[in-house]
Amino acid sequence: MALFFEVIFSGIMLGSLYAGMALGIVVLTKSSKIFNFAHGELAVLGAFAIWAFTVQLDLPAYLIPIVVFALIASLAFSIERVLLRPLIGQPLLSVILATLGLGQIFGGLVTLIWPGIGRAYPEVLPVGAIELMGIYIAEDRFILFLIALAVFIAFMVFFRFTRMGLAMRATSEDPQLSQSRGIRVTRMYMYSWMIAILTATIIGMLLASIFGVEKIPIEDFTIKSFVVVILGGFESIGGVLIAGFILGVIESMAATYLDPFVGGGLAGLMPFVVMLVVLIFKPYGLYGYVRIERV
Amino acid sequence: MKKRCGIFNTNYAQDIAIFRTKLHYVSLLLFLIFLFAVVPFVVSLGFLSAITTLAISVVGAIGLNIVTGYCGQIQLGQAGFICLGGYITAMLMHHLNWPWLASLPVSIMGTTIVAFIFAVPALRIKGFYLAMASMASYFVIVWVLMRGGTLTGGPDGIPVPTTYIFGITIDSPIKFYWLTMITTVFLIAIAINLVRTKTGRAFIAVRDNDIVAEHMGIDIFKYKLIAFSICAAYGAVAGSLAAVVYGHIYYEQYPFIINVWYLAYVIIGGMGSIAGTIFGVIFLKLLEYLVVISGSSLGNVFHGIAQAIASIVAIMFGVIIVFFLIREPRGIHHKWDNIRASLRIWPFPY
Repeated sequence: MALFFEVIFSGIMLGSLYAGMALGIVVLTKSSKIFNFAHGELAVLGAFAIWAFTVQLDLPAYLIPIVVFALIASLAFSIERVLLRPLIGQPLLSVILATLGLGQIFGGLVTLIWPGIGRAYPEVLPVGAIELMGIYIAEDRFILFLIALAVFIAFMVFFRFTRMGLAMRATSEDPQLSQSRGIRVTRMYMYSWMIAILTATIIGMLLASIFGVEKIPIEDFTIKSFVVVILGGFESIGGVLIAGFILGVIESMAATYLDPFVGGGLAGLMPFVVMLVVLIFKPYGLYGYVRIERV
Repeated sequence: MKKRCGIFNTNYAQDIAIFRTKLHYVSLLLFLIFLFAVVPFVVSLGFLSAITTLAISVVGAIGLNIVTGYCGQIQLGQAGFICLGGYITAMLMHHLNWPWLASLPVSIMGTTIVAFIFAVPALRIKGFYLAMASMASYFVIVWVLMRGGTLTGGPDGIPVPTTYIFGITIDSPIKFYWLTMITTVFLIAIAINLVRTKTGRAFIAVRDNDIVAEHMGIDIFKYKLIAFSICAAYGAVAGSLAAVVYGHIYYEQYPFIINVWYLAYVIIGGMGSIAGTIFGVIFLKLLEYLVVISGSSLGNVFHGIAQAIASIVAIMFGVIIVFFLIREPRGIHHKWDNIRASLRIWPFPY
């Protein structure tokens, strides 16, 4: 029984990371209906940039947040101006391909600027295990789980209770209408890109502190976060958190209980099976809006 | 369709004709003679094999253009079908010693059936959801091929034996070139004819507005399925050709990014245009070739640039995609039409 609970706990902790990745994607789709395929590369870029600031350049601690925020703001601004404003009104496929191309640029930049291997974050997280009612939980993962959870709650509150969150939701619902009500739609797009890049950076940091800066299995995580977005529904932040937990638990259970029968590797296939099943039976996800189409 | 002054279409047959003027016909014939009889003896062997890979990509990209450009369904899993088609051919040739020509139909059938299985659930949805579902199909296919044991050779893949067609052994780059070119030209002809039939017009109707198309009596589910199957069949042919030409197949030949490359061929070339697909493949492949060649010659001078080539190719690819989407969203084919029109009326501006 202890094994069962340990599997569930490790699944939830893994799932919170998936959900954290998915959060950035949902924020963008929520405000501008853009599905960001470049999110994984943004996370890697963030992880590398943080490493460069803390270890390579050894900036003082008070300067790092300022530099990071300035970079994020300028990146979001340039993405919005250069890439997405000309694409307003273009078909969906163009936007998808544009973000895929953006991902290529970021991925190439990372390997171009920081070639080779052997980077590590300074050890700040305690290494050990917490005992909780007979179950052992890795301490560093638990702290990361708490950070991811805190980020989540912050964004749920932001979207539900603040003026800007409301404006973003309105922009997503109908850009023209919200513009006529005095919301600056392009500004909202820029803010949502800033939020997306910020969450990507945070998750990239967390992943880098677990796996090492170059060894982030980013393709894996990106695709699983897509699955989480689909399972949770495109517009729901809470749904994404729950979906992340579900996927993490399914995956760690498959790895523990089913792998001995099929010879391993089932954890890698599970997300796609989940995705296909969800797409067949509940294509709008657990908490997404069901859209009715009209001509 | 822009035509010379004085040529008017007076019936539908003329409107959909491929060769509207004698000049079209003659220039195509000359081009084909050039392609089959002149090119293999003039260019170097390295460039010849580059053209061969290019033609293989054209086959895969045309299949994708039929489903994405004509039928409007986003397909992010073409590399999976290409990989699967190649593996089926390679398995039949390696384990059962079948000739290529016999294993090709089986490969097409097998890939189409697999595509069918994925397409039936996937086609109830559209947009992002379809992109995701087709992406999932790619990963499932590769996962299965990766763990196929001795049948698929695991990570090492399987070697593809030399084959023969009508008693001719296919073993030199020139023969690979001819085999690929004949297949490619044949498949291009099929595609051009397909898109001007009832089926092709139904694809376009589904793309332009699926709800209206359904109102007009087009069974959109059926036509989406047909488009997906055709796409997978073209992918299977491309994979089979690649397996024979490279002589070895393993799943790492088809990483996920290949899906994006294929989509980029279609979009940069021009969606809904067979000629545009060919332009797109040539344009992107030539650019990649240029970067790799110039990078390796620079690598002799500057140490350490060789590792950066892959990154530069990726950045260049991304920049070109973004540039085309913003500056020329209708693709190279549209540009080509404009250039031709302005040449025709030269020296007048319009």
